[in-house]
Amino acid sequence: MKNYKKLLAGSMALLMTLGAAGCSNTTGSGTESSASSSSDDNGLVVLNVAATNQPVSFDPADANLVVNEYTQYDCYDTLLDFNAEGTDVVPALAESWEQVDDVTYTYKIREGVKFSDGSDLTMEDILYSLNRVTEDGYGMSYLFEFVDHFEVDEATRTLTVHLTQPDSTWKYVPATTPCQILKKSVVEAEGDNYGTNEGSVVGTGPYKFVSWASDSQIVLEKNEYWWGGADNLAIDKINFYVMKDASTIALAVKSGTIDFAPNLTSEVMPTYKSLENYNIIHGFETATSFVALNTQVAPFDDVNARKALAYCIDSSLVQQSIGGEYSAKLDVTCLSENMYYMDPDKWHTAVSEMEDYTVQDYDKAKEYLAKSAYPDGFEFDYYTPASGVTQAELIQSMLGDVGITMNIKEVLTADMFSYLYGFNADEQGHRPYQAFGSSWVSDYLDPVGNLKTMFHSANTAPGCANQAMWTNSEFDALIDKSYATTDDNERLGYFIEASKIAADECAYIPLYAPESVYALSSKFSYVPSPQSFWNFTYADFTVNE
Amino acid sequence: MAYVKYILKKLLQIVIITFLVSMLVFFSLRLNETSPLTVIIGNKQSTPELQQQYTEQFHLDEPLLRQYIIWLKCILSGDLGIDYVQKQPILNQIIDRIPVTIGLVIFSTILGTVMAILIGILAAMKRGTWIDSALSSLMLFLSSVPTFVMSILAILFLSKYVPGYSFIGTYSNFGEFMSRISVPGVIMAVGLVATLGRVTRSSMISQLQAPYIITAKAKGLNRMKQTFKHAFHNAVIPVLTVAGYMFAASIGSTVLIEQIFSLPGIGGMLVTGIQQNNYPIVQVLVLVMLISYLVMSFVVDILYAVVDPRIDIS
Repeated sequence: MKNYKKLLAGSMALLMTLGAAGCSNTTGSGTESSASSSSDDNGLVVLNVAATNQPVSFDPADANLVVNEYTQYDCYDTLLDFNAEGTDVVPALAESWEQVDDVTYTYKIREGVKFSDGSDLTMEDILYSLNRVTEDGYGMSYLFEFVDHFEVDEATRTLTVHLTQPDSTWKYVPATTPCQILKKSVVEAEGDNYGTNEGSVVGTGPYKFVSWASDSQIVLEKNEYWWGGADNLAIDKINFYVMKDASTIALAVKSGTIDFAPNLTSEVMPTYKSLENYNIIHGFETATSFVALNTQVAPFDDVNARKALAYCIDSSLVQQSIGGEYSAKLDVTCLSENMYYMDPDKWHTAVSEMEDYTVQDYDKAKEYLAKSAYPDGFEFDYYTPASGVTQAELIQSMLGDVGITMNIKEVLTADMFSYLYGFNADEQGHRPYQAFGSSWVSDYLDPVGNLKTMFHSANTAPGCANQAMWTNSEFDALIDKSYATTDDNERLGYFIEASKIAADECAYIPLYAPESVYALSSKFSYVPSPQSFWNFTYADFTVNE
Repeated sequence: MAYVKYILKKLLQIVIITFLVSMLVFFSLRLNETSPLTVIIGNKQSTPELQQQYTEQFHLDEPLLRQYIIWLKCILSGDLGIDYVQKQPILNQIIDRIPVTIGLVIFSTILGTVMAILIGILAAMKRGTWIDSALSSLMLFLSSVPTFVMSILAILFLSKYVPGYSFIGTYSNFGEFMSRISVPGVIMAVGLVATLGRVTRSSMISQLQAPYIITAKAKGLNRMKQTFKHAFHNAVIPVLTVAGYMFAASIGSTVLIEQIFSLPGIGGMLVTGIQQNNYPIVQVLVLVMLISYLVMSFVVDILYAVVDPRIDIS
């Protein structure tokens, strides 16, 4: 009542201050605290996180948004984790593993692991979780393409994986989120409600699900039963806020309300630049941005037409203007620099011998156009989601007087997956676009993550991401060979040979590799890994004294 | 009798308008090229089995008119259905979010109306003085500043000068609830003050110039009594009418403000629904907002007659 009177009397500016003062008295935890120290009234270390959207659910089968990293991941453990460099796997729920032969792997599961509800993790839970995501209809079932079946033994706590054929990428799969382990009885009891804000979430991860107010706030707290030791966790509680507007997040960071803001885009960067007491953390993952040219339909069924367009585009300029400060230009291989980890020198030598059409050269563009089936020029439709329109317009402005005309077709974000995975192909299996301003995030730093997915003919089927619909039997043979051996040196040889073929065919016009950029309060430290999108965890955060 | 007839006529109008709008929303959403199936399947693998399952579950293989009738029947029987993305009952989602929206609307209307009346009366009493000009200019200025600009300025101001103030997240008690809605509520109220204040001012001025006030003056009635007992009593009728309509209309303005302040209300839910092509949510929320508006306006019409017995509503 007292406030009410004051509200009537005061001016607008005064009102806001009053309202605000009233609020910090009533809210208590996590508000005043965040401005000065990292602990709240109860002495808990709280991390306040904000993102513009929320997960669809906490069920690993629905985990396909970036925001899942910051909400759902920590409720579960995977069998293995990626190491900090992202190039190899390390123990997690499985304490050791062995490749018995070309098609058999065994994993020894840790003893004494408990779920967040205090119950024991059984081998039955592991078998159930793995079978569940291997089934058709699950978005990432392709990771389990060569799995024949799983087998568990409760007595020795051993999981045996039988493959149908040698698969050199299998070693990474146990570290991916589809291998997050659920509690069978809970999932079965709750059915479709499991993991939604109406249901419950039970996992073995470092943090447990506490509450979810849809489109507003998700709360996670330390899981006291965590096998890694809850005492080793620097952060006690995570408040995840959904804030629809990226600029509001920036302002909340500025006011000290938010400690951690992931996925900063170049549009909001200027606001973050002026921050005090915050650090901008950034690192490359495996994302790449490019123009996919539909090689099945005119005009890009002609390699000369593809190269004519490529030579019109100045990739460096696109990288600088669109990718911004936190990005790097891509080579003709369409692989980000960190994917050369097996032998950077060998890759660089190979790349230097490839034809570099990422530079702008109108003479060459005209030359290729004259050689193509369309010597008088051609017109094409460039499809892009709303977020890529600026990039499309930039590319459009680069076409000069070569004779190529580009029309921009904007597609709805909700439709992106139909295009990306070819669910909207016509009866002949042709995807509707001629060019598509697109991107891909490789599952692994291992170059096969891009080479197989984007270039292999097996991935032209609906549900697969060969967005150029490019096929080449010689290329396919090299990639298939790389699957049959686990010797990285030998595999590298196949990858370089395959990349030479692909680059020469110019099915994609490479643009840039974007970095992941985060704002983090200087009260905390965190080092992102290139494989954060599989293994992000708040357990990696530390508090600065 | 005329009274009852009038009410029935109004109710019939509400039903007809709601029906027409429900049709308009349903079919215009279907003009969108995005197939509902794409939205429902989301990022799952679009296998024929899954497509079949969802097609049947959501009656997508039926002709559009039939889909509309099925939907309308469900709505009439109180089943708002489940949404495309989270596949959760829409009714529960609305119940979770409605307190914020109702809170915002009521808080801003009460605050705005009281402030508007006080400012309007003051301006009318001081007509022609610098106070009047200052208040009138202020109201003109406030009515021309878009809500989103004011919201962003408020957030900027708070983040700079009141770093402890938290305007985000959910609430667990009334104090927290009020702290979430206070600033956006004040901003919505400002929009109200700007319009309503000017209505009060002009209404008061015309009353203060009326012959009965001259009589009152002649009788030697003091200024306060003249103003409040007599003039205000008559001047407040158009003000309350406009306030009532603005109360109804403010349900629509919560959409923008909830988005900017990240408030978990039904306005934000509508925006997300539109962005995600989540048709069932958009359909239901448009109807909810429309019905709220119509019912509020209806109540105002009735109250209008109650407040001013001279008005013959028949």
